[in-house]
Amino acid sequence: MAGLKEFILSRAQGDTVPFQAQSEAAREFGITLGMVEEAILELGLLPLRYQRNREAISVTQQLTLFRSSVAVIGCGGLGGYIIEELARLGVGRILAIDPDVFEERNLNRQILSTVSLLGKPKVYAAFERVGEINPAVTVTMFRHSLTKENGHDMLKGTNLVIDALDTIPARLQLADVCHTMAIPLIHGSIGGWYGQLAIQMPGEETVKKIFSLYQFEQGIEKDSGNPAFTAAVIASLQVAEACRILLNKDRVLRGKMLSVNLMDMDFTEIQL
Amino acid sequence: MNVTVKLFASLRQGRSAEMVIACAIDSTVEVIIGDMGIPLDQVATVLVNDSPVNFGYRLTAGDILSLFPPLAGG
Repeated sequence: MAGLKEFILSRAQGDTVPFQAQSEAAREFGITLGMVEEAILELGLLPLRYQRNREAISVTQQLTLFRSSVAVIGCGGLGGYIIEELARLGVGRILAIDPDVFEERNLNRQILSTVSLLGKPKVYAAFERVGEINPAVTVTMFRHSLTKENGHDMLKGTNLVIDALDTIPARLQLADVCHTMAIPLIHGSIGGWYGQLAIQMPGEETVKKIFSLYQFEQGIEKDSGNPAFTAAVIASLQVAEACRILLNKDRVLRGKMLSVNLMDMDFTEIQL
Repeated sequence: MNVTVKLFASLRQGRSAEMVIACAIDSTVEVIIGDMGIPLDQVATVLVNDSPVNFGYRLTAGDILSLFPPLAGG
């Protein structure tokens, strides 16, 4: 686009570009903040908001994250933290899927839930929250459950899927859809002080291995509940793994499950 | 024969994390779990020597049996 790069270069502060300049460019050229962000990164510059990512994530890697699309299935305890972190990380497209509305019992752990949002759809809260954190990120929302029937349409064009569901049958359906579509899946689940994390890469059936013996919808969380810290820890580990996969780093958890025990502060990798 | 049992997450509550137990030759996973007083519906994943197996799997001396509860919250 004629003039955009010159405009960005003229507003750069060293090798960063402040949000105000990004917004001015979007208005001046009639384009989205996301399009400006991509142009900034293509110039080898960094939107100022990512300055503190820099030692961990290079400008080139930041561009890769911006061009990535990640689906988050479930916008509750795990999903809320995951969406928050993906938006701050700078993943360019987030697909948020959840059929539910916020209930009072969600307030103990679901970061997107507030008293004023009780009764409101969780995906709307995700959309609004990302807009406040990082409006260069595009959020697409589906207020539906993902099933074998609709999953292929919902996940089309997605680079990576993160499991933030709350029942085992729903997880097995999601894993099956990801397996069929050859999309990497990051499984996470929690119960009380405990959580687990696993990666299912294309061609693998990791989630089925984990739950193959179990015939019920819910697990120990039915009685133990889920405190906020367990959701936050497992969600953060899932996002770290998402970042690793999107940036094509070594698959340290491939074929393994990480069992997290916050009661004993014990983290154990198990080969599956 | 002896087998090593490793318990994870909530299955450790009131039990040791790891123990060596003596059992009859060819004991199944289900028998061991029952002998430990763990209801079968509290176990979602069973590994023997790092490979997933079912409750009817017959153990051999020296096996390492790892048990995980169902965690399904999100």
